[in-house]
Amino acid sequence: MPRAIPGTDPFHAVADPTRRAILDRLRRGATPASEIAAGFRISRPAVSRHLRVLRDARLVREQRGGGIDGRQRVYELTPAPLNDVARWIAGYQKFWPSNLANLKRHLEGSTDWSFDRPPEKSRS
Amino acid sequence: MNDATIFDPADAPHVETDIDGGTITTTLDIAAPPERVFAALTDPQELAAWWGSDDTYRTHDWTVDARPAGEWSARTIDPSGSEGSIHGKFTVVDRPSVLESTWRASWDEIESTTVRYDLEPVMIDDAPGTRLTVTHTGFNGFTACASVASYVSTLNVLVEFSVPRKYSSASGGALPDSSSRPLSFAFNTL
Repeated sequence: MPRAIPGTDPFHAVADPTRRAILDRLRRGATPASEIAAGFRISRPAVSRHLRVLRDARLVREQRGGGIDGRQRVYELTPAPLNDVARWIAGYQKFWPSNLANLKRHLEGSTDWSFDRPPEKSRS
Repeated sequence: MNDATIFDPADAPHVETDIDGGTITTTLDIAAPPERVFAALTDPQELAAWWGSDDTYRTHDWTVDARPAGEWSARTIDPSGSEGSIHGKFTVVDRPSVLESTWRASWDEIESTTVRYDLEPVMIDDAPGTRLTVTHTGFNGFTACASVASYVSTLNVLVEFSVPRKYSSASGGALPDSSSRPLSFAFNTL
């Protein structure tokens, strides 16, 4: 899997617990920036920086025109990039059972190891 | 699978896998004593023979220095022919009971995770056998994201197809309250 450009990488974006908490907050629906910030003890500029990272990673979408006065920025969860994270972990979830099954067959299948040895790959 | 043309899927070994709190755990019983299993986990020739599969990746050029702080590595080639590597450093080597090392694959997205093998002697059909448990740790936080990704995707599909337009996110309205729905992980608990 090719790595994403730094700054747009969902893995980097979700590595931070505060950003994960923001994503969790947005599961309830699109939320004005002021409401998001109110839920955290860190400063509002700090929350804004986290939102920017999430936006760059395309995990949230920013819209103007929210809030009571219609002039606030509203953030909405767009979780599609998280699928990369999900696929990566799912890969290991599938890999280990498969790999241990290979080991079991190797050890139980035959005393002749060549029986289990994969065919030589041509490197043309 | 390793020998898809030889093994009937019905004969596939029973394997249990569990993922929780950033840990993947897989357990299975092998009809060979722990010393024998430990050897297969640390012998470069044996590893090249059994590790991986045609639908994941194959390995070659294993190097294994099975002692604390010793390193291991292998070259990999996936079904599309692209090459990579896996490598790590041993943190616990207690033959034949425990083998633990750091884990890094060239296709991994984070710096390093940890893989631990626990080998417990058990009797299988009146012969010495091994209960092998693999514990892969270091996915904290990422598992929550993986879980929420599938959850939110499902929710969005439901909203799209079954919820009146006034709830649609495009209008700036809130999605239906999701707090009562089942969710394996919440971001803020990890």
